[in-house]
Order: sequence, then structure tokens, then C-alpha cells
Amino acid sequence: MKRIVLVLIGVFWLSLAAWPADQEVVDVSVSGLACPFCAYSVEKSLGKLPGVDSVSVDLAANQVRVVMQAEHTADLKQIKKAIVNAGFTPGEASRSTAQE
Amino acid sequence: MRPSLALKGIAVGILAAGSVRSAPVTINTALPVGGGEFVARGMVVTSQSGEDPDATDRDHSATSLIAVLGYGVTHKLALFGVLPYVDKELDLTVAGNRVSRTSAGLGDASLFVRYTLVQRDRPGRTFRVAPFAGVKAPTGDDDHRDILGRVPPSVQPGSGAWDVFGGVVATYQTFAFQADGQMSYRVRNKANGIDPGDELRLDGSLQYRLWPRQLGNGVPSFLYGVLESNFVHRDRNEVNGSDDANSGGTTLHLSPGLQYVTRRWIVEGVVQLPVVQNLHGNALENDYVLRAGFRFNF
Repeated sequence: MKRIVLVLIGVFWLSLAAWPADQEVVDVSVSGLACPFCAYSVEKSLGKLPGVDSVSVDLAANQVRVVMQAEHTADLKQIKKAIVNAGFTPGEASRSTAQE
Repeated sequence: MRPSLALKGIAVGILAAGSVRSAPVTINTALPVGGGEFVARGMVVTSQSGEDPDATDRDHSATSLIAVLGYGVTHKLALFGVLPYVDKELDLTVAGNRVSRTSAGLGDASLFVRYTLVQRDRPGRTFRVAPFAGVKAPTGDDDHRDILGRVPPSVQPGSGAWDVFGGVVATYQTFAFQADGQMSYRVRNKANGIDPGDELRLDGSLQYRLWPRQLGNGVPSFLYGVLESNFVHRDRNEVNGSDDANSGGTTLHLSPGLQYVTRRWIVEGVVQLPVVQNLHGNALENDYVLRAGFRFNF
């Protein structure tokens, strides 16, 4: 019986460790972005922010997606500042969560 | 003193140096270099001038390797450094003998700044206007000699003078096309007894996206068809205080080409073809300029 309890506890902890963590996702509209080479500047600028896991640009949709590392919260002000620093104009931003 | 088509080709390269973005090939752009960001550009420019009506039957060729580094001080203020390496040759007939005058080495380096004065961004498009100003330093050898003695000014790697230049460039970019216009003026200063004529330039560029026809998700690479025009007017040179009748004039080049743009790098090439060459006296006319290069965002 003791062995079964230990196995169950082990399985419980393993399942907790494997449980996907939530990641915050920020979608920002960007104006002035109209070529692939410019898109990379935005990716670079946002990628330097602390806690950013990944950045992706959808040119045709005029959207940039910033995925934060688990346990990190997005700072919208910093994200918009990074877009301005890359030479472009940020617009509306929305937050959501995704599982790692 | 005859105008140096090779130097003209290099000058065009230097004026194009700010164009480190997806942008025109022969001129600047007003598109941004991000704050704290570096972009690099390398170009090979080959210029050929021949079919000389003069008895000396001159044939002038020059190849320049031009390295450009751009740095965004802020998202509006960018600094550019340009360093050319030049290889020049002038073949001509002197006293019935065909002679060749050559030189190779570092040319004159340039440094200039560009400031984005107007920025109107909309989804998928932007309009920008950016004035620029800079100096060209006499870093190239202007006293190069071969076995026949000091080579002519058109063959020297450097001009020996500090020049200043400035202008303004405007850019309108959408997903489908980009249009650029540039006006610039270069004050060319005296060196070695020669006061070269100042230069006025009016340039235009149109880049049209040929592929992909439909934009997909993410950041697809673009293939642009490019057509550019370069109008250049140069005043006559002065040699020892007198006008040189065989210098200065007006030229117009048209430049078709292709440009492939990805997120991190660009490759491009154009051929500059002369359509108007109203040059003074027996100044040597240009046959063509070939220009190929890459840009890298790091």
C-alpha cells in the first residue's frame, strides 16, 4: 500500500511539472510597416525587451505578436516604445494568454 | 581637365549609401534605421566610358567596392559612413603609342547624417521626408604615380579635397510599391590647382513588387522590379583660375534592375544606361554603369 501511495505522489508531481504554463501574448497593430527588411527591425527591437520569449510579424495584417516568457508580464508602454524606437507607429494592443 | 566618369560613379554610390533599407539602389531613402541598430551595405560599381571622338581614343573604366555602415542614433537620426576601394584605368593614345594609366587603393571616405523630418504612418504604408548632410574627406591618394609619372585626376583614387554635400529625400512605401525622390547638391572644393564644378542631382526611384503577387501570412520575401533615374548637372571645372572647356555638363541615366528583399538581407542589381549626355567640349561620355550589392541587417 505504501508503495502505491508513493507511486501516486510521484505521478502527481510529474504531471504538475509537465503541466503547460500560461504565457502572456500581446498583439499590437503597427502602422508604417510595409517591407520584410523593416519587419526585422521591429522584431529586433521588441526581442531586446526583458521577458520576451518570441516576436512575430504579420505584414499583411499590420500586426506584431509578442509572446512573453512564463511568469513574465508584458509592459505595453515598453512594447509601444520599442516599436517607436524601431521607426514605426504602434496602434491598438490586446492581451491574451497561451499555453507554453 | 575632363570630368571623371569613374568619380561620378563613386559619387553616386556615396549618395546611395544612406539607402541601407529596402530601398532605391542608386540613391538614398527616407526609411528608418532603428535606434541603436546597425545596418551594412556592400556594393560593386563598374563604370565604362569609351567611344572617344578625340584623337587620343580614351577608354576609361573603374570598379569600386563600396562599404557602408549605418547606425541609428535614434529612430529619426541616422549616421552613415562610406568607404570605397577603387580600381581605375585610363587607356589612351599618346604620340602614336597606346598607353595605360592605372591606380588602385582606398578612395575618399564620406560621413553623413540624415534626420527624419516628416513621418506619416498608416497601416501598410508610410510617407517620410528626410534631409541629409555630410562631408567627403580626402582619404584617397591624390598623388598616385605610375611609370609615366603622376596619373591624371580622373585616375587618382582620391580628389585631395574636402567636399560638403546635402539634400533631401522623400519616400512613399506601400506593400505593392515604393517611390523615392531625392534632390542634392555637392560643393566640390579645390585641390592640386583644380577647382571642380559643383554638382546638382535630381533622382527618382520606383520599386514595384513582382513577387509574391498575393501577400501571405508572416513576413514573405519580396522581389521588386526597379526603375531609377539620375539627373546630374555639373559646373565646369576651373584650372588655375580659368574655366576648363572640356568639363561639366548634364547627364540623365535610366536604371532598370531587380531587388530581392528578405527579413535580414537584400541582394540587388541595376544597370545605369545614359539617355542624355550633354557634356562640354570633348568630355568623355559614359557607356554604362553596372551596380550590384547586398544589404544586411544585424
